[in-house]
Amino acid sequence: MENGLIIKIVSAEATMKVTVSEMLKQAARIFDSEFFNDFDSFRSSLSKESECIAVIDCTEKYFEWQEVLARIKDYDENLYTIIIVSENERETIGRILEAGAYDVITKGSLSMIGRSVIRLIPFLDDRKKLKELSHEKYLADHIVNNSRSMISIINRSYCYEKVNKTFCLNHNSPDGNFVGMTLEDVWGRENFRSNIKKHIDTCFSGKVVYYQAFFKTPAWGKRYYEVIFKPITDKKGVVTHALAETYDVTDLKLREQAVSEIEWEFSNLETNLPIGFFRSDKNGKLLHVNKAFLRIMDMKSEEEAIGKSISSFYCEKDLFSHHRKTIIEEGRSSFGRVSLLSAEEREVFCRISAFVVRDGSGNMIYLDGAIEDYTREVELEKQLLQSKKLDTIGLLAGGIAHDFNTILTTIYGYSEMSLEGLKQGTEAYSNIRKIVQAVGRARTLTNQMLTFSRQVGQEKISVRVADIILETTDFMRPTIPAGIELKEEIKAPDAYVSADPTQLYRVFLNLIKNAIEAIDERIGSITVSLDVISSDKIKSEILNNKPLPEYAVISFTDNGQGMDKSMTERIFEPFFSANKGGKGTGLGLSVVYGIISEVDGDINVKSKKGEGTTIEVYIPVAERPSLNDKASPSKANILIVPATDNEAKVISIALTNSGYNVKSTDPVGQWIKMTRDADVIIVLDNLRDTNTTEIAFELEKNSVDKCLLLISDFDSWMAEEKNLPSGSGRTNLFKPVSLKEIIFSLDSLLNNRS
Amino acid sequence: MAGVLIVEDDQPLRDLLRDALEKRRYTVITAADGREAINKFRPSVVDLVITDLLMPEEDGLKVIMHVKEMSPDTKIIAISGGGKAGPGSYLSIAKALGAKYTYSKPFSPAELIQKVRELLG
Repeated sequence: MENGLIIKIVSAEATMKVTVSEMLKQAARIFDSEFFNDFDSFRSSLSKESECIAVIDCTEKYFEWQEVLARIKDYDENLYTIIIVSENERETIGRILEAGAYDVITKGSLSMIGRSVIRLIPFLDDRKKLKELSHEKYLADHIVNNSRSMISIINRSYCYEKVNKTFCLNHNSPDGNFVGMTLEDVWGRENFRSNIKKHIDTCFSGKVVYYQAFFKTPAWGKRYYEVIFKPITDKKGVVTHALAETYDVTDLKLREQAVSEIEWEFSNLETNLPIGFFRSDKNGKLLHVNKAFLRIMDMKSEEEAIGKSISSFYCEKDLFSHHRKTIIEEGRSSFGRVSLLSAEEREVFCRISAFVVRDGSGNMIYLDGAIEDYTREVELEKQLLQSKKLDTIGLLAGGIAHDFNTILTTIYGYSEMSLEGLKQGTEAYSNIRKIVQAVGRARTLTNQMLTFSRQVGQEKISVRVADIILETTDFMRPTIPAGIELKEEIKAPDAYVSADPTQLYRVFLNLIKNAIEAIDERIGSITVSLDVISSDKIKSEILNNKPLPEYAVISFTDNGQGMDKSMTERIFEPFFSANKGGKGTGLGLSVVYGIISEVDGDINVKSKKGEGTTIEVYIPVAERPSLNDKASPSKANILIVPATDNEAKVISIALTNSGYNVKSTDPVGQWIKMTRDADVIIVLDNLRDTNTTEIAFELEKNSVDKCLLLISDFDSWMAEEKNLPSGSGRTNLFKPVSLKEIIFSLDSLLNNRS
Repeated sequence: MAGVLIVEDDQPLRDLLRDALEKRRYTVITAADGREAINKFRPSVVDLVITDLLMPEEDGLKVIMHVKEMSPDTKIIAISGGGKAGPGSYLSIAKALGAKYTYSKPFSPAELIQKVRELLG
């Protein structure tokens, strides 16, 4: 059976049936034949599923061809019908064909029926194909409508010509008729302009366009769509339409974003967390480290680290094997504040946590872990401890000094009373003089203790640091050993700070003396430099209080013996001396500490054993005193004697900056004339060219009745005091003096005078 | 002879000042703290007060205020040992309250006596 074709033969005559079937066989094709005696049984055998050709014998009067064709047409217009008519009806053939028969064969030419059927076969195949095609179309429609993508065809006027069901559903309009609507109608102006137009225009130029973008949709809010535009061309190759496939990838995109965010966060964490990660082999040989690890250990590249053993970073090598053992035994462990040595030989305090990584069979393959840098915390803690220690000592020292000063007054007072009744040159007199001298030294000590404990209080004025540095070095230069060079490097000549100039002088003197003592061989150099640095360039450890914007940095660098770390940490403690054999009082640097703390400054010590020391003093920069201040009426006329003494110059600067009208002179020649305009004469006893007693006498001799402020060393003054001429307007101060004391005494003198 | 009130919590120093002044034939009254001083102060007897500033009970500043209130003409000399806020500031308050002279310990008692003589004429 070929083509599944059935020939249905309808005839009331048995001979006709046989003949027809015989004829068909002769046509060399095998068809299935069915025979029907009447039209009704033929009619009821028809079904649309199977193809058939009807051969209807209308030679007898049983079947009228008109009626037959009409009934067949009623049922299936396309059914191929071959009508057999008798010879005498030959003239009706035309009419029969017109009425819809496929072919008409006369009884006399039945042999033609085979050919007629064979000729029909291609038509039947076509019909079958058409049926199949319509099924395929149905399937294709099914696919298109059930696709998860929105599929549409858009013409060059940006109008939809066809959309699939998904498109409608996605636009919340299942039965929506989008055909004829423009892209702008459907998507809105904003989406059309920003997300669609340029892409579809590219497509119209003949290219396939693929892109993803966020669309704001009224129905679903913000969605992320993946869009493909494919050009559709006519036969000439002209793009007439675009096929659009739009797929909602919002969820995918969000997931993707979340994943990539997590990935990014992790890589970011690994890179930016201050935690160093490492992977080592079971023996502790490094295989991988992150950037933080390199940072902490002062290394530049991973290559530098790989292959090194973790133990090589340990300050105590034995400690690593102990740590490793613990980690292996316990599986994981961590150790706080392990002292490590960085590639630049810097001591780094780290917390080390590590765990063992094993393979499937339980063999240890890696040692993974992390290091956290606690160096700053450890340093700060040390500093805090140190400053707390200094505060405690200061409190103690201040208390002692206070009580001690009372005791010293009693010792001194009785010594004084005893001396009154004794003749100079007797043994008792010279013994008591020694007690007085000791009181003088004790007073210096209590003064230092009070300064260190910051209980003195400073009169702060704006002062040019360079001036004080130069007075200090000028004073020191003649006294230092010949082999030591003292240099100044003033990079900021106009740096002003708010401080007591006499106290700064004291600080600088102490630090230069300290540097001289550090130079063992008596050959070397000391450099005092001055610069201004903004606080963001200063290591935060140095200025741990809230820093001010700019600092004057005065550094004292020597190439002396240097100190180790444990020493540099302690040099500001009172009575701690870096010098062998107890040179110095042991209070010098603690006084420096007290004074600098009082002006909100800080001190940093850099030292290396055998190479030298640099002590940096940081003081907040102050404003230069304005001209208006100087123009204000002067408080009083002051004459300072002598003029050439460095300390006298510092006092002169201090008083000038405090608003006094200051002149100075050396006690030579016609200097007495200078005293005429002075309200107060300040005499500084420097044991070289001025002696307060002598000057007091000289003034008395010349009948100069002026207020006198005598500044001298306590014990040298003691020896002379009782010989001084008595005068009402006189005050004695003892070195070291502070600006606060001087101003206080000046005010007293001037008030009592008026 | 003029009367001097010495207010000082340190006994040896109190004794020293008393000895020195009595030697100069002053009538000396002593007090070991501010409260005692306020109780003992009589303007009719005391012409000059020497007072320490940092003391237990009432401090020297309270003494100065009391004395100045009771008798503005009574002379005052203040002494201080370098206390917590610094001798300068305590002494300057004392000065502002009316102390004629101020001394920071350790000082020369002889010089202080000289000032007493100057003030009491």
